[in-house]
Order: sequence, then structure tokens, then C-alpha cells
Amino acid sequence: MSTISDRQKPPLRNRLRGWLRQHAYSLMYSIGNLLRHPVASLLTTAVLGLALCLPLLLWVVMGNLEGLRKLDTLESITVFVAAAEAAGNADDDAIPLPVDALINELAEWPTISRVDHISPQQGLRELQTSGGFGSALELLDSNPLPWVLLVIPALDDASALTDLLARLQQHPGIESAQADWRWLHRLQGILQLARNTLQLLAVLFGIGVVLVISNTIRLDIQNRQDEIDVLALAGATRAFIRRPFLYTGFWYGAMGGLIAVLIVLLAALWLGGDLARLADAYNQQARVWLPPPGMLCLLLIGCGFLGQAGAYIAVNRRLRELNPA
Amino acid sequence: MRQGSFQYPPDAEGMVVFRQVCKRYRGGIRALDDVSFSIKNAELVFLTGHSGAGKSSILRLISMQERATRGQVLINQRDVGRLGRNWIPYTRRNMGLIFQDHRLLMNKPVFDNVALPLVIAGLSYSDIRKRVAAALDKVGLGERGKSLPGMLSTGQQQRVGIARAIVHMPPLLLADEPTGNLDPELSASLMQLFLQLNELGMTVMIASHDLELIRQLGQRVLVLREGRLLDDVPARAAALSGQRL
Repeated sequence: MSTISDRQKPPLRNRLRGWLRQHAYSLMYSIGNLLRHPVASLLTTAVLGLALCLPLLLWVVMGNLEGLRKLDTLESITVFVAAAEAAGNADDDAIPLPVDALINELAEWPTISRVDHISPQQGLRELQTSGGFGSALELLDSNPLPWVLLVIPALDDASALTDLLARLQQHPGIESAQADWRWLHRLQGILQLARNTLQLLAVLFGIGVVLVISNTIRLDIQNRQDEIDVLALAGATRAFIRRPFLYTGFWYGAMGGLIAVLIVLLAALWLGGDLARLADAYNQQARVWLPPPGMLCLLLIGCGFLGQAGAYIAVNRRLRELNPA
Repeated sequence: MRQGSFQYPPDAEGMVVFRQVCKRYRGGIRALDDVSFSIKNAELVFLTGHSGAGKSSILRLISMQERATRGQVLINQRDVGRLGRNWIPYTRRNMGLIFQDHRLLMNKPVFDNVALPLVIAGLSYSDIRKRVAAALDKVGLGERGKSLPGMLSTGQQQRVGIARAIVHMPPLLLADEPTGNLDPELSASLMQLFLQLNELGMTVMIASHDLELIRQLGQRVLVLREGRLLDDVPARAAALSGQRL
């Protein structure tokens, strides 16, 4: 029989091997513990899933609104060419040289994807056929309409679009340029508000997840108080005692995240029809935007770590009482 | 020096050494008062005294469940009072603890209960299986590895507790009233087991108030009364002298 050695910690290699075995033990123990109480485990993860699905749902809704915002950027800026530039026969559809030069110049701007034009004659025809001004227009001696350019921007950012509009308005060959950005600004504002709300909700529900798991683990610790005491007296380190609870916390968090993802996927399927109808109103086709699979995996891992944080808080409170002060 | 208390020579060194140890619990309850003794390696020692004499407090101090209020507790010449928290588990792995109430995990089979110290030490499953089987054979429960503790008698449960304490063959075995709930015949068989382990070189400390059993075994006895060490009866003398116990 050996005496108690002065060097009480085993060699590093043995400790590493033992550490891996202990992790395997803790991992299996935590899974077994969840499976031994399936109803309680399911209820806890369902609560976590519901808590996590709200910010996730908001994230998906935001992703879809961003898509709608991009749809609208296909709309054009209406540019009225200065009268001096458009001098020529207003009854002729042929493009005057200055207007042609202006179209070519604008088409080369990197912020513009395309420039279409409407001649005064073409504009008049449209007014006669669709504007309801047919009889009034017959009284005119000459065509008063200017050359109009429809500028399609190559941008989807509101501030950049505003800059483009200002630049067009300052161009000497342009009488005026018009675009109705107001509703886009409103959408930007709504999106910013939603983004901030999403961040706030994510933090609040994250704290909620930590607290729920911490409380669940605390109850688990209470039920296994005797076991923890025996483990400590048998020479278990704090890390050894803590580990199964940390794994359990991770499973709770990750499974809660998985339930939240499933709820959001179901909701996306359900809301897909509504989104298609909305997109149709903009003469566009749209599919429901969902976070990419990689992002969802990261989300599940993140939820798992939140669960671990909750478990860590709960188990550390108990461990402080184990050894003499 | 308090009159009537036994004082061990201050230069003595051993596996377990108490030097003028005092222990007071919250509320000023005095559990140990100026207790000094030394236990050599591979010695079997009984701690005896009436309820509240301080037997369990001594075992709790050795197993580092408590720290001494004053004085030194040395295990293999190391002051456990100065041991950092992180070192306590590793020091405990050199001990086997046996409790009167067994402290078995009732929802785990006997095998898992006995395997605990080996799992904690990070042994491989094949090693654990061999050692647990050997420990259960030693206590006569070789066939009950799959049983839950609740299916066993009190005596069998105590033997499971002993198997758990000796499965990793610790150099120091501490037993707190191990025969408290057992009949005399079973108690005697357990004591024989302790003697066998001691003969293998294990240092054994047994807290017990069963004086008849202690006399029969004739091992060294530390007699405690009201937290003080009243007498240190050497081996053989304990068997001969009924008056000192």
C-alpha cells in the first residue's frame, strides 16, 4: 500500500486522458439525465423555444422587409430636360443632340443603371389616351411638354439615392428631377426601429433563456444535492461536478433554439402566401427569406452557450458551499 | 495544557497528525479542544467516546469537510488547513470515506456507486470494471452489481459503501460509525474486513462507540470526551484493559 504522495496531482498525460474520459462521462450522463425525465425536459425546451422564436421571427420578418425595399429601388427618377437643351421640333420623336448627349452622359454614371426617354410627342400621346385631357390638349398651339428622362438608379441605399437626386437636380442640362422618396424613408425608419427592437428583444430573451435554464439547473442541483456531496467527498474537482450540468444547460439551450427554428419555419410557410400577394402588388415575385443554414447552426450553438451560461451561474452558487472556507 | 487531557509527544510525525487542534462551530459550539495525536502509516486506530465527544469532527477535519479553528491537521506531513481549494479534491482521492448512513446514490446501480472514485480519477472503463468487480467480491457482493441499493439490506448497503471507499485502494480509510446500524455478527465481519485492509498496508481510522467490539479487536484506541482527547490506549492494552475504555 502506498502512502499519500507529496505530488498529489497525477502526471499531465494521465490527466489529459482522464479529462477526456470525464468529458465523455459527463456528456453521456447529461443526455441520460434528459432522457430519464422526457416530459420535464420537453416542457423546459418548449418554453425556451417559444421565448427564442419571437426575436427569430422578427429577424425573418425584417429580412423579408429588406427584400421588399430592394424591389422598390427599381422605380425610376423622373428627369425634366432643360428647354434650351431640348430645342428642336417638339412634334418630332427624333432625339436632339444635346438630349442624346445628356442621356449618354448619365448612362455612364456608376450610380445609374439605365436611362430611358420620353419625347414631348410621346408624352402628349400618352396624355391624350390615358390622361383624360384629350379635348383640352386640342386647344394648344404647340406641344408644351419637355423631354423627359427616366433614370433607373443602380443603388438600393436611401441616402445614396438622395445624393443622386441632388446631383441630377444640380446638373445644368436638367430643369428638375423628381422622385418620391418619402415612403422609402418611412420604410427605412420602420426598418431601423424594427432592427433596434430586434436587438433589444434578442438581449431580453437571451437573459430570459439564461434565467430559465439557471432555475431549471438549480432545481436539478437541489434534487442531486446528496450526489454532489458524495462526489466532492470522493475527490471530484469542481470542474467534474460542474461539467454534467453545463452539458445539460447546453442541450436545453440548443434544443430550445431548434424548437424556435422549427416554429419560425412553419410560420414562414404559413405567411409565404401573404408575402407573395404583397410582392405582387409591386409587380414583383417574391419568396420568403429565411436565414441561411449556416446562420441557423450558429444560432443553435449560440443558444446552447446561453444555456451553459445559465447552468454555470446555478452550479457555481452550489459549488461555493462545498469546500471549507 | 488542560488538566485531564492526553497530550501526544509534539515531535511525533505520521500519516495523520493533530497538533493542538481546536474546532468551534457557528454559535460557539466547541467540538474539539486542544486535541493532539499522531497516527502512523498502516496503523488501525479506533476513535471512541460518547455522542458529541468529537469523533466525527476529527474525521471531518481529516477529510477537509471542515477547517480547524486553531492548531494544525497534517496528512503525510502536509498541513491541510493551508491546502488550496483546488488541491482538496486531489488529496481526498487518497482517502476512502465510510459513513454510518452509507450515502449511496439510490437511483444508480451498485456498480455505478462503487465505480464513482474511479470515474472521478478518469480510469478507462475496462479498468473500472475489473476494479469494481474485485471490490464487490471483497465485500461479498460480487453478484449484486446491477442491483439498486434500495433492493439491498442495510448490511449489504454498508458493504457497498465500503466497496466504494476501498475500490481505489486509498492509503487512508476513514469510517464514521460503520457498524452503527448493523447486528453484532455483521459488525464483527466488517471489522475483520477492516483488519484485512489494514494488513495490506492501509491506514484505517474508525469512529465507533461499540466498546465491546473495540476490546475484541485489541487495536489502538483514542478516547474522546467533550472534545478533548482523554486517553490514547495502545494496541493490545485496549484488549486487556477494560478500565481505560
